[in-house]
Amino acid sequence: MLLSLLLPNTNEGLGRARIDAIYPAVGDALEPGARLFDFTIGLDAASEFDCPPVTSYRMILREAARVHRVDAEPGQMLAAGEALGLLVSGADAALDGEPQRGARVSVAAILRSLDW
Amino acid sequence: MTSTVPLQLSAVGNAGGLGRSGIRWLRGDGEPCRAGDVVGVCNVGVRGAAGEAAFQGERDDLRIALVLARSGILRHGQRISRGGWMDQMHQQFRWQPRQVVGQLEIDSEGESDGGEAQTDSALRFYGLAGRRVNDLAEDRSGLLSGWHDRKRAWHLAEAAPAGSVVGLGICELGPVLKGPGGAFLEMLGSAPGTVHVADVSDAPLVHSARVLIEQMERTDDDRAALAQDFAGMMAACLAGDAATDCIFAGTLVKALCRAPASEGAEVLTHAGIAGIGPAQALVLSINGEGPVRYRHRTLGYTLNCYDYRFRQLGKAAMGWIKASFVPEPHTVDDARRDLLKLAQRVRRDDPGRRILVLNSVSTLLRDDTLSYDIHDAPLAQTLRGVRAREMNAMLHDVAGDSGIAVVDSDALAAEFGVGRSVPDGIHQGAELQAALRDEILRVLAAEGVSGFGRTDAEASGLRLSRKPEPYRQYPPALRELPRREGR
Repeated sequence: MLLSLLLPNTNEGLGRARIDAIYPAVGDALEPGARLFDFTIGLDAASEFDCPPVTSYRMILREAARVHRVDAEPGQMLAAGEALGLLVSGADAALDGEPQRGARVSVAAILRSLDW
Repeated sequence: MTSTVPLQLSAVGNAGGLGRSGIRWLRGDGEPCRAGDVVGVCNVGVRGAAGEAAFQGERDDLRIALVLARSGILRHGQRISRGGWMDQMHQQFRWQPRQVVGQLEIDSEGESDGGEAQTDSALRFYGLAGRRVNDLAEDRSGLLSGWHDRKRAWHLAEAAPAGSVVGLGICELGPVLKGPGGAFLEMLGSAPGTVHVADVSDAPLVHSARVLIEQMERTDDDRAALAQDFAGMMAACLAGDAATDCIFAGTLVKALCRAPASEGAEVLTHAGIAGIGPAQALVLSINGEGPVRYRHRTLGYTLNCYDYRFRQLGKAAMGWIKASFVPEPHTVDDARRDLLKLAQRVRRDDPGRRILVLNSVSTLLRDDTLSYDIHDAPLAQTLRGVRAREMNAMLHDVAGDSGIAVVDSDALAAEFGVGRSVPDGIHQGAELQAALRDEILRVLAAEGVSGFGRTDAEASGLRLSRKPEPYRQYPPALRELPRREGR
């Protein structure tokens, strides 16, 4: 089964998210608990007003799957709902067609330090 | 039946006299107003020798607000407001005690005759002062508008205010203390006694407990060495053609060399100019204790500044910052030690001083951590929600005899709904800000800070935030949820 991986909606109104880190590569077999992406929202607001509500998140996979495609790259700005990649679950899944559902993920707010 | 009472200026300031601008009316002529409404403001300047020594750095933004002591319909006095610069520059007129600047039409049901009723003054006064970061940063458009490193307001009374509090927190605290108008009107309007309220800006230096301790203990030689060192950053900024970064550097040095937790101030009273000592209560934000702090590699002092401010610096300035400071983890235990040391330090000379700390909103939208095993330890340095909860638990443990009291932002945010009232965990809507302000006032009263206390009858109904009960009040809908079997 093809599973879509979309940027989750974390805080409506804070604009696009910047992709900070991409953990899996195409072909990787992932177990539940595998890290997928780190992203930061609120940066769009940084140029508009002081003390922007910048928040960083880590997306974690909650089911076993294999990485079929990665659509994002580090530094890219994406809106909620935009494609991050495609996963495949099941050994004999068809790799064409539309994803049948979204991948089951969880999202945790993380503390991200400045690169020094 | 209505009668009129005069709105008269009272004696303010010292014998050398007070200059004032024209009065800017904040409420319209003929507008119904309530007791406690601020209806006008003027810039003032203290004349004579006392004036030259007092209100250093605040002379350009020293104001008196006119506050109604009774409800009624406001009537502006003729030619009291001149508009334009004449209503902003304090050299225009003399502040004349007993000068009538307007009238108040009141409902005098029961008065035996019409005309002016015999009454006490219908006006009270607030003093307002802003200390500009630099004289160039002028903005007189509002009551306390402008770029100030400290804003403050006080009840202008016969003597200095009975109590004093200073906010040293971040953006979740400043607007709560200052209120929607930015001039502390709600705090002054709600305090039962005479009080002085100040707020120190967190731009660009964030006041963690460690920063406050170091500011208090810094000697003149330390300050000289620190400023000398920053000359390197200035040179880097100018060489890199990023003059605006010099503003950041200069503001940062100024902030590091101050000690707002131990600063006094002058206040105008009806009897003259009085001095007040350091604030009896400090209000902090636990969110000011970030997971990383920056230590100077040679001078050893702590820099606490938001990452987004560093990101806005040019290459040369950021290069200097990285060469001069090293990032170090700042754990929950570090924050605990610093807070206890700060409490000890501020109470060394005055055991009655108190520290109030806003705890952290520990819920974030779309934060649905299902397993903690997969995240790097220590979790309080990795996960925002875990850090917030551990910080809150730490605060709960240290509150009490240490002189630290907790303002339970977390519980209030939960009552109002995080998604509705503080979706990013920091920037609250007006409703939650008003509730937090009320809670700060209650805690100040419960902690016995002068000027904020209430009568014994009222005190019995106070929520004491020294040891907050978690989620002590649910919204009505949640109270109706059935209990699950087996839980």
